[in-house]
Amino acid sequence: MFVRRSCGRCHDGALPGNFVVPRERSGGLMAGGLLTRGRLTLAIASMALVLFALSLGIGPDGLGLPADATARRLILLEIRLPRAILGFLVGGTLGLCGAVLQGYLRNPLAEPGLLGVSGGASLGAVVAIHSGVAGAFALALPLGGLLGAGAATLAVVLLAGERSAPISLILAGVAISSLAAALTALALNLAPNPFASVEILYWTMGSLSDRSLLHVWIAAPLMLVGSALLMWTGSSLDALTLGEDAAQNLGADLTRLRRVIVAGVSLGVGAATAVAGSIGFVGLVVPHLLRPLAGFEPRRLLAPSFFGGAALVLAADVAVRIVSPSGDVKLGVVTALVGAPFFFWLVVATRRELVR
Amino acid sequence: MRLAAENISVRLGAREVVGDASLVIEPGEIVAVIGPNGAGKSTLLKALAGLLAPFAGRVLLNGEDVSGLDRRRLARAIAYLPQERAVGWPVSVERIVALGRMPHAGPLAQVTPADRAAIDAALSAMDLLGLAMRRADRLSGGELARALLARALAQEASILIADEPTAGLDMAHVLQLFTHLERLAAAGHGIVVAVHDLSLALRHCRRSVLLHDGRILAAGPSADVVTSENLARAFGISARIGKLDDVSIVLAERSLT
Repeated sequence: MFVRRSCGRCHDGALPGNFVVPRERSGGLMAGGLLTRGRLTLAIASMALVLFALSLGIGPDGLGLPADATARRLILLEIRLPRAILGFLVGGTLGLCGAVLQGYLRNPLAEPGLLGVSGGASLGAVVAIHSGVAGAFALALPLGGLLGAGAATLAVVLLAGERSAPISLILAGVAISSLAAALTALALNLAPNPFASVEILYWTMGSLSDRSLLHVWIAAPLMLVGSALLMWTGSSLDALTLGEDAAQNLGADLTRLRRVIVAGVSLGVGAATAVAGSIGFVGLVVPHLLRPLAGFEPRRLLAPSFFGGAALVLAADVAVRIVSPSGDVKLGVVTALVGAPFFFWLVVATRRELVR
Repeated sequence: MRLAAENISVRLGAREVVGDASLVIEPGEIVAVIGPNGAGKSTLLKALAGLLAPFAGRVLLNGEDVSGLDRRRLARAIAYLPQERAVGWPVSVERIVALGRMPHAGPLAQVTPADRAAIDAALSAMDLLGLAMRRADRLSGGELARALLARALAQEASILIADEPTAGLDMAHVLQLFTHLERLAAAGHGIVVAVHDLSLALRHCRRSVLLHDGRILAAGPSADVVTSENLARAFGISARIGKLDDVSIVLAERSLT
């Protein structure tokens, strides 16, 4: 989409209507825009925190809490807090993973599901539902998801090999995703009863309702570790802007970068999908929304994308509870419904820019 | 610094693309790597830059094997300009050039006055000061080539390895480039360039290395390498090599095949 290539042997084709923007002194460098970038991150993080508070405050009966102290404590700690924490971390992880993968592949259409991890996690959870294990104990679902994510990661790594180009990782991811999707469909197909199929279907739509602090304990550390790993990829991703050879010449270790990305995305997306189901569009759309504000360099997008993803998922989860207090509308449906119009706008904006 | 390839062979897949090549780049000289398409020039340059590990032989930087060197140290010693000219995101020219400072950056990646000076110098050397804030996707092919070259210059490495840096440049900018390279060489840098314009090799490069089918066919002072006999063997052409007043020129006359 944005790739500008020249083989060096083709003719010079000066684009019409070139213009020169006056040169800025401060914001024009690697970290010259540190202050403004910090401010942007701060603004988005505050937004996410406000939505976090709102998420704590909102329930099926609208804003507010019961008067009774015991009930209030119970609802806040046992129901709303896990939901808000998971919303924040799941959204943040997905936003960050999207930004990292888009940077790594130099492709604005990359998204967290690309490595097959979310497909694997979905399959693991669906198998748990299908086999009835999910009914046996409460954490069987997320644990099944984590197992599935781990298996998918292993398969992708084995398929793609250690030192090959990024594209091989994606091909392996697509292959594993397709297989996982087919097996998930098979499970749905062979569901023992209609309740199981409805449960499977709902689970794949993604939701944060009825999650406990146990879910948080299982998933939060993995998402935090995954995100922390990915936050360190910034400078290598920036260097990759100029291609793999140039990046290596600038000192980037591409083998290590690949390992860190696979590990970070697997931990983060695997855990996020295992507790919340597949929540689409967040990882794809958040980096796009932030690019006009943060700039195009991958590194500048990482922290804003984390908090932007958190804000988007928390907002969607608040919206879910307002629109459908009974819990019939699933979170993943709303994130896609909110995300798609942004994408329409993006398509139109890009088209306008390309025509000029 | 002194960069030396000792009898290196490089394989891509099962194919030996460069075989038994030896080459030394001393500080203060410009060496041209010439040869027909597919002769192995780019592969040789990548191996010199430490990006491709040779299957046999060694590449030594001041006597140390580059494969064992710390990446950042290597990045500060050798700047490499790939032939592929792709910019993944529409960042500004200035930011492309600023990437060249990455090997010098501290943990917080703050811009030091040295960074600022190197970036300005590189922009100015490649005649890009007026284009500094232009987005990469709004550059012409030659402008993009200069921006990427400026990145390699901003790296301020002792050795510069450039794969066809003149491709896509207009005549004025080719001259400007070689003037700058000569200035760098005079300041003690070692420079390797792959070029197709053999007149440039004759005029600006002290030594030339002629590759053919992955082997070094001839190496030495450019005037001894760029000869009608060698060009006939390597390129299969009959070429006229002469002087117009004082200026060496090479003219491909006709194909011998």
